[in-house]
Amino acid sequence: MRRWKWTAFALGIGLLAWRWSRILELLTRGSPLDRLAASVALALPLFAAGALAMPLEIRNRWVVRVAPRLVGGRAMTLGLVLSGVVCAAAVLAPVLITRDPVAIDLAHRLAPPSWAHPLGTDLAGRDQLSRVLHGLRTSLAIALPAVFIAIVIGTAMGTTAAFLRRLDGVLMRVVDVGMAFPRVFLLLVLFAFWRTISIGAMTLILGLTGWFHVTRLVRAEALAMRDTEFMLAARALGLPAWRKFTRHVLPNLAAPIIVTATLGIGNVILIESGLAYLGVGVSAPTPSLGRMINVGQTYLFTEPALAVVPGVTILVTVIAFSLLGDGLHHALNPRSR
Amino acid sequence: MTSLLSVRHLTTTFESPEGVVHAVDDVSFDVQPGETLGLVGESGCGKSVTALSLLRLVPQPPGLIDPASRIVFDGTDILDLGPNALQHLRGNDIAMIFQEPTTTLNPVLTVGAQIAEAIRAHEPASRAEAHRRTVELLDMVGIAEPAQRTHAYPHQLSGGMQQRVMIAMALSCRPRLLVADEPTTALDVTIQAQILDLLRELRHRFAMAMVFITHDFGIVAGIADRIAVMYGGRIVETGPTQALFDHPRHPYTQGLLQAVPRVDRPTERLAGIPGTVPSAAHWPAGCRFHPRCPSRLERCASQSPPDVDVGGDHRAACWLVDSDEPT
Amino acid sequence: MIRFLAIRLVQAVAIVFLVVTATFFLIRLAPGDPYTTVTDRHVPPEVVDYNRHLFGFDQPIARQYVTYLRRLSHGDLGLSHRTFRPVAERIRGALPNTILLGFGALLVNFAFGIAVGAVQAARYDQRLDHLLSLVTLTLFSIPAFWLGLLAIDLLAVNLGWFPTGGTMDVVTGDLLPFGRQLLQRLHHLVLPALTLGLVSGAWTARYMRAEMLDVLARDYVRTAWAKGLPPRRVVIHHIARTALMPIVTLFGMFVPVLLSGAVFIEYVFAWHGLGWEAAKAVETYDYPMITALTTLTAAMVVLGNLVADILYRIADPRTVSS
Repeated sequence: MRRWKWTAFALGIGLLAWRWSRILELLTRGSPLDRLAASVALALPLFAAGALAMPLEIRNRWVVRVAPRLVGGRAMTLGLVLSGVVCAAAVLAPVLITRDPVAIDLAHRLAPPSWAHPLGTDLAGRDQLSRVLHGLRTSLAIALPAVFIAIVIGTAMGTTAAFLRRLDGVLMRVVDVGMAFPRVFLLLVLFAFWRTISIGAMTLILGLTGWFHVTRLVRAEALAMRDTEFMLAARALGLPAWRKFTRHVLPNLAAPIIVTATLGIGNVILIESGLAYLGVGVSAPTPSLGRMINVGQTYLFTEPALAVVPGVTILVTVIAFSLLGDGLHHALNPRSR
Repeated sequence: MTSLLSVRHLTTTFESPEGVVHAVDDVSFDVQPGETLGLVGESGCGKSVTALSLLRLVPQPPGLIDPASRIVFDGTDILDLGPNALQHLRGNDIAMIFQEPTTTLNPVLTVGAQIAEAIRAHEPASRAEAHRRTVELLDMVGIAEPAQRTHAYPHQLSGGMQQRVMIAMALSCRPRLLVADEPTTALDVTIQAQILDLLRELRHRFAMAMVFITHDFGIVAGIADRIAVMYGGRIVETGPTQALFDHPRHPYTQGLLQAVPRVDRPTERLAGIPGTVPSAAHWPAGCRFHPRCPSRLERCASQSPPDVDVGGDHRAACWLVDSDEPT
Repeated sequence: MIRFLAIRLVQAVAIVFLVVTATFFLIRLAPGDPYTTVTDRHVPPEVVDYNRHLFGFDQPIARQYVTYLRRLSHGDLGLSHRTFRPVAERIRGALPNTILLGFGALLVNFAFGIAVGAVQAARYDQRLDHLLSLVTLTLFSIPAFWLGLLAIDLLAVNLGWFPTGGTMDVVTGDLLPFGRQLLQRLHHLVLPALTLGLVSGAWTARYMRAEMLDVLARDYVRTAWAKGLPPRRVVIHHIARTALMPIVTLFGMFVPVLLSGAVFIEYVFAWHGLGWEAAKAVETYDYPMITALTTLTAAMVVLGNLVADILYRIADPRTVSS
């Protein structure tokens, strides 16, 4: 364990040293996402240093409590590592890559992979690697909060439906109607007449349309719990409702919710890129992987890289989160196969 | 008289995260034609695994029957049979009934279909013929309105009736040996008695041998000709029912018998056996019962006692038996 | 059974009604307005007002709702903003194509999913199981539209085995006799159905694997072996039958999934179905078309769920008895 922390510390310091001017530039003159990237780059070595400095006993206590539950096996470690790499690459993109994703350089259009352009350039001479990383950043910036919103709403609705019987009927009707719409059609209806779509708007709408199945799931689990013996015991002890909820219900809900959330991230990325492909995505100039595929498809037969590279990026990212979700599922449900 | 079933050195192990588990360890016993052998022991002693091993129903990974084991039925070693011969043997020569009829009957097939398929698997019978025999069988096991009942699904029947169906299914091809794994444990006491009566009657009618597995000494007394007591994956005592009850030689058997409440004795405190059954992954060294034995000797902790003949086809595996003192 | 059917039917109708209402209000409450966002060029206000009046958008919303419902009950879905022809006309042409694609995809989905899941369960934890898990993982992580593009590139352009898109050959299609027309349509169906079917089939495969593993461990399977039944009988009647039953409920889940996926697949393969129309409608800000399509597809989902419920009832006797 100690070895990893030293490695992380060393990497963090190395990153800082290599890119210190870029980090300063981003901090002072960058967009909010750029500033986030710079802050994370700064925070990495600090975090590792802190973890190393922590007294052994405190650190071990935490590790001993959490680690045994995460004995996920190969799928989970792979998923964890892969998603970690993906997220890190996306967040730190502006720090790592100085090449501007929107810098047009017509002299070097469609260049093959080279040292300067590891993945070549596109139609307008823009660096592919940089574009893809920024597109990935957009996708994650949309998917992660959207799933969070959906989970929060879904859990709230689900537990309310399970424990407040008066509202159960109404809420479940709403869920039925919500689930009746094929998600893409619903999204198309909502986005139909927008001129420009911002990341925030995309995130919000995706989150607001994604909580239905979470509600069903949470409600089912909560209902099962409500009628169990240990809840009966809690009631017999006269515990206040709030206590019963946080101490007994929530921890048991945590497992399925975490798994659903992780798999949901992959799902949202697929939907978002699909919508972008259709032209209903985040508007230019924000880079978007789906839109890149759309542009690239016309040249599919002559310059396949234009459409293939963003596609592979999406594939790898979603695989990473799916593996993670799978691994978590097996780690948290020891009986399942 | 040659035994119908002769089990020698049966060892069944399982792979588990804690290592190799010897669920059944060097077990040997015989069953004569028409005889009922009661296999008694607490949960965790390996009696169910023994039963499953007889028909090779133990899932092969993670389970494994030791190649040195011998299960000889009517002259042939079951462990040597190929898949076709094994299929022919099961249900036909040796049949098995299980503990929980609710989970051991297929919920989506009618009761009649499940019995008929057993018949048609082993005998050339037409559908109509199989149906006729199914109705006969249901009648024989005491189910009212058997013709209508053939179209019922298992969940529509009570526990007792489901078990009767199980029995009908098992006896459909006139097996010579019936292995009954705790057939009455999941039933109410009154129904238990009915099922036991039924089994007694049927085994006489069919001149069938039976291996009856249970943890209840009261039940086994009423149905077994001979009893084998299991503990820790091994057989600790075997003998004719009456002899075992009158003169139990192994401390474990004695303990079990003392724990049975008796109607004829004045009410007194129930005597239990101190301690709990050890986990099969960590059998104690030497005699497996020694940590809980009230009369243990020094050598019991390190040396495993051999099977000793105490006369009249009665055997016990205990160091105390050597000295031939009635304890 | 009849009572159950009646109750579910009433429920379904209620939900469809709610769906209709919800679509109506969603589309009017969603940001953006068909008249200001449509074009960059300056449109004279009189023209905008005229159009507004023509399509009834100048009425109070309650009145619009009532008119909408009344028209709907007559089967009048309004005029398309794009073509100024009745929406119902285009839908009537597009619906059969989507249904065809849906069935094709469902066929591929179940064939692939059930076969792969069963094989994985039979070879549990062996190399084949792990390999197939990798395959299904990739399939459900892949963007369907991208897979479609790759399929076109590889199988249609490079190998020339399949057409690159469309439902029929544009030039010769109408001239062929009916039998040949049908064959040609099926030929065009292969790639889109395969793409959509495989991507959704990955779910089925995982589900089937888990189901089979569960059933294999059940007690009644052990009883079947103990009875000495021939292996084929045990596998088909005891294992497969019970494992496949819940798959029927998946059918209800797949209707919305396939319809959603159809939007992308139909667009990529130029397959003129409901999804293609939806994509086109969004491109051209075709208000009435989108409303009608959303309502219709939601109704299809409700219907699909109803059918799945009925099928499950028939298959599982435990749900039937009182």
